Amino acid sequence: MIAPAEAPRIQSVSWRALGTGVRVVVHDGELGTARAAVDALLDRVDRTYSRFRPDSELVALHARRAGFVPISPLLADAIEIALRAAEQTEGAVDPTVGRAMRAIGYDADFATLGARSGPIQLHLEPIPGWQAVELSRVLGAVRLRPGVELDLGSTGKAYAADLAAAAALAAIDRPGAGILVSLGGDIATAGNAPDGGWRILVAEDSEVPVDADGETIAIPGGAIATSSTTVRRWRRADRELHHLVDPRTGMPAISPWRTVTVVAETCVRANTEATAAIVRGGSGLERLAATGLPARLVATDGRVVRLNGWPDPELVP
Amino acid sequence: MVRKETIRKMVDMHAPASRSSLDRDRAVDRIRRLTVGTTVAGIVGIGAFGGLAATTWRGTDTTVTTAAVITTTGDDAASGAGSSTGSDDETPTATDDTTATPSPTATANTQATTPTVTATGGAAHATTGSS
Repeated sequence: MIAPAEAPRIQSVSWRALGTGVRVVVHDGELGTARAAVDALLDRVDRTYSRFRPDSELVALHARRAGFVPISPLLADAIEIALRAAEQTEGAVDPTVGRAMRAIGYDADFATLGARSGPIQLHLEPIPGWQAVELSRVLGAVRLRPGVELDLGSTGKAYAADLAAAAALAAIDRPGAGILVSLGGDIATAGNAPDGGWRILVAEDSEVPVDADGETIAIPGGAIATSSTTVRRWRRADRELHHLVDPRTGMPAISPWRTVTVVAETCVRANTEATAAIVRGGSGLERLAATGLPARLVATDGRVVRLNGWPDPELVP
Repeated sequence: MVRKETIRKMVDMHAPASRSSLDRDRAVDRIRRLTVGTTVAGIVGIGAFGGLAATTWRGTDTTVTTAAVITTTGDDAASGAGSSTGSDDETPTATDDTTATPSPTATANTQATTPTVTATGGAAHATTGSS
């Protein structure tokens, strides 16, 4: 007698890591195995390129100034991806904003920033620029120009999502299985999606519960990411600040767009284009349209623009 | 009866103590040469492969490498080429062949297919948004 085939299961688990919410959804696979793989990967990422851990490899790199400094393959990959993003966006998304981030007060885990309220001295100053970073894959080393501090937060979190999805799928090791990993709303998938695709609630804050009302889309695979000036905000004296730094000024970007969501083949690409669209300000819409990637932009006045095949919510079947 | 010549041959076979020591030294010497040769060949091979890898990474636009190591000071901060806030004492004036810089040809992910997006209803699997 043949046993009936087990129906594909969808299971999920959420926790916090890297200073943000983590959600793992498994389609037809072992959830515990997936979570363990994601946890291990995120721990590696944190120890490698956290800006806020005094024992991270990135912090140690900033402390060394002379010549090429040997780095781990993971840090080399993360820096390479950040430099590539900077080149592709002509510097709109640039990893050398680390010092500017500290200058505007984002110098610790975001959860602790709210406790500080004193005045802050702000200077308009262009950042060093990604050309100040020399990465040698042959030497497995990097050289930073004096004064350069890297912040891999933008592409780094998205890259971690891409890596985590791949690692979890490999750990599950089951034909037909699929995985979705969300790191603070930067979502990467791997393997087979459930019937109808991965359903994603599009919001400005990734903490919005998945069953809340709102615009929901489905993707068959790939990734989706959102950048916004509305969530990571803090106040110093009378100044309202946010974490998306404009490399031209070293200050929080001033943009007609407050939130941009992009679907792409990888989470790194989606995050890069979403962030660039905000930082570019007035030209962000046109440049994003030219990429051909499905995107949704929310203007500061709440107006919503959908691009490149992003469906109208009215078309829900 | 054993012939004298045969006896000499037998003596040669049984008493080559001094020659075997010499032979051993020669053999050790030969092994050393082979080892050194193999090592040198290995290093040359690694160097050649490394050079090839570096060239491949850098892509076809060699000017990109130059741009990445020269400090620029100007108004075009939008391109990411703003003035450095650090000192210039370590500003490189030249680049070596092993220095890799991002190149459009190194971008593999743009070749992949962009997922299609459809409108849907019901509870979501995850929420996208800023964190």
